Amino acid sequence: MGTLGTYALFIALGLALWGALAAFVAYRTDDLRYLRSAVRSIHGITAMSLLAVAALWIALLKNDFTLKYVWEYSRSSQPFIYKLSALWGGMNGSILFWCALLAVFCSLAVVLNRRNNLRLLPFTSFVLLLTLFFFLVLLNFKTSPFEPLMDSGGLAVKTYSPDMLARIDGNGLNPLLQNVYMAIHPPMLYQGYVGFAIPFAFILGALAHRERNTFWMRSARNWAMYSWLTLGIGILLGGYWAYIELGWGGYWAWDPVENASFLPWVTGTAFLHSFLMQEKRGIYRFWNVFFIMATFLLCIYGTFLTRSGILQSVHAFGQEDPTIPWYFKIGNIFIAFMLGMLALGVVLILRRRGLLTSGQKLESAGSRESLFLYGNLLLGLMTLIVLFGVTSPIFVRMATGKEVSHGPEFYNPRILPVALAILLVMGIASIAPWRRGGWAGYRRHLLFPSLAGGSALAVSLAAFLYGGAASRADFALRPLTYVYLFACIALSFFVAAILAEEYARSVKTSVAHGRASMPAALLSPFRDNPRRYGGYLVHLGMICLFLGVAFSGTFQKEYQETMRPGDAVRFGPYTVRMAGLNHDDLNADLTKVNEARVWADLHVFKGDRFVAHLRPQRVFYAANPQQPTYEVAIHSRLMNDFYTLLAGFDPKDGTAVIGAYVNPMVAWLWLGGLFVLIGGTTALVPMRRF
Amino acid sequence: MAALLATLVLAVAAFVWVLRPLFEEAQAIPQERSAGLLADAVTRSVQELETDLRLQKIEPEDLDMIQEHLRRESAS
Repeated sequence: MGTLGTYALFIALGLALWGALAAFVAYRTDDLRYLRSAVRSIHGITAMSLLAVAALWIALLKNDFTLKYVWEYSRSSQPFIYKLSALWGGMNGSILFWCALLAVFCSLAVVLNRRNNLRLLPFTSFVLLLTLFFFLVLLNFKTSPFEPLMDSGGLAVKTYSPDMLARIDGNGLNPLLQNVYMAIHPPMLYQGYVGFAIPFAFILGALAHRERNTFWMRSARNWAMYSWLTLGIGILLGGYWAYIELGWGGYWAWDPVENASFLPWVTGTAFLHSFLMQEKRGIYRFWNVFFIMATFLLCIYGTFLTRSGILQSVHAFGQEDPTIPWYFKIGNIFIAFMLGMLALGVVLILRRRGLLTSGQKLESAGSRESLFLYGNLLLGLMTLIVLFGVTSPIFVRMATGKEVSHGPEFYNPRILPVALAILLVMGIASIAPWRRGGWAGYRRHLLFPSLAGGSALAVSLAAFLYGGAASRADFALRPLTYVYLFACIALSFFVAAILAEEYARSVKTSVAHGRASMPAALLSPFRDNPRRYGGYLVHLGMICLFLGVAFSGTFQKEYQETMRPGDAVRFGPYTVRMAGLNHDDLNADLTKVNEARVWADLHVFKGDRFVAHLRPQRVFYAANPQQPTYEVAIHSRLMNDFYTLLAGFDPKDGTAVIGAYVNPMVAWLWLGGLFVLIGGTTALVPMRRF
Repeated sequence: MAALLATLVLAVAAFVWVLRPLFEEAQAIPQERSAGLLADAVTRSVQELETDLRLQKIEPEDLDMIQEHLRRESAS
């Protein structure tokens, strides 16, 4: 399998080199034959990359420990799903997976655009092939997952006798990654990262081919929308994994690698919004080019951060050998590619700057067009803050040798006001009229939302004051947190009321114009204008996310108690009775059973009412038996999560240290994610034709 | 050895398939845009703006102006 995979990648590299050359010749000469050859190269690369993926998967499933990658990230007793997910569990496999996914997306993109956007394909294919070429260079010369395993004497393990080979077992996948959400999270995230290469290539293609018209952008927009959606869901799944697997009661820590995935999502959001303006009014052309370039480059930057070893993170893939020459370091190869793509984009922008001017002015500071601009400026500002937070420690370390990292204390005070301003603009832009922005246009639509926001603020202030001395003491400790919380509540209800009113008006108009009967009219906004109303569902999801973050961040309570079987302890509103501490055979050979578990049986009561039987666990894996992982147990309800973990235990006397968190409204994050998924999918549906 | 041979065959087959178009008759890349696609893009935008007209988010004269702009753009 190793040989097959290695050669498949080598053939793919040759195809990428030829394809890029052919695409460039097609661009310069308008010769269809070269374009066809380039397109065939893309399909050939797809076939070869998929062959390499299949070869690695077969090697993982067949426990072929003659390959270093299989030995490092799998073991015989590893469950089937984690043998499959080991493909993206290590750096080399993840780059192969990334490359194969990119090739599949490139093939799809050229097939779907072969009729309607054929004239843009030469340069578009050239950019896509350059990107594929970059990843194939890495896979062939730097990060091959088909490298043979060598023993300490420098002898290839595959030369061993069958008896000796049968005795070899692998290290196994990192225990933290042996979680079903971690099996889904990277493929979702990668689809987002990879997918943004398509609109990036199309925009550069349109510039290179001097295309001023925007009809081609529909295809680019659909790719961007799909990538944005999968990246967003991937980020949320990563948050859920962190919540249930790391045992710290949180879901987002402003870890550099988390931030690296957040950055392209933010600029992708900005692109999707300014795209609408270019489509309708022909404005913000430069912004679109800028945001999609930024999104693609930030995707590559995120990959660079994770894989170069430049950052310390729970998600990073580790350090590189310091003896490697500078030009062969993976980080520097990534930097060279990013700079190359940036230079290509900048040169095209400068040479085609005439295409990027719309010749139109914004007529009013309060018009829909202007509000979209404010939203994008705020999203740009958020990107800069996070980018600074991620990147500045690298420069500080290079300059001073000191390790610096930014956490919530850096990000929260800077990001929260910007996020709240985005929430406000998100609401007002929904009702803003085109071209004009006078008060008269707003007045009739703002009464109900203002009342809703004001009432929510009044109720939350009353609840706060009802809390008495404890609330005031907490307020004195962190006044700004409460200010943000109250602002978030008021704005969330304000925006939710705007969305509700918009939806109700649309339904009413459908009925009034005789376009649909009442029950059918309830769905008519999504049928008639799926992009807008799908977008509104996404906005509703964002409101849920804002509220979930605000409440769980402000009111999380943490507890820890040592308990014996039969003990009952109060954790906030919950009473926990420990029924017992149980475990698998802890002397079992982990190399054969893969894992051994210790768990506490907890009966949870709210008042006198039994509400849940929770079983927080610690799991010992053969890969790292000294550090058992957490398997938390959560009683999750819409308004509260009761989150328990087994912080410590002594199997001899049956005592357990039970950690617990009462996390308000965390479920709103996942609910918000569901709305984003449904709304984003709706926005991808083609519009109904009259 | 068998793997090497199989790969060689695969590589030759892949490159023959990829290079084959070069031996066909020369042809220029069609430069015209799909008329259907252009019309579709305009219709879609106008349709969305007409929804806004019903919802009083756009004045009729502004809609006319934007429609005119879209048609001009699609013809450019």
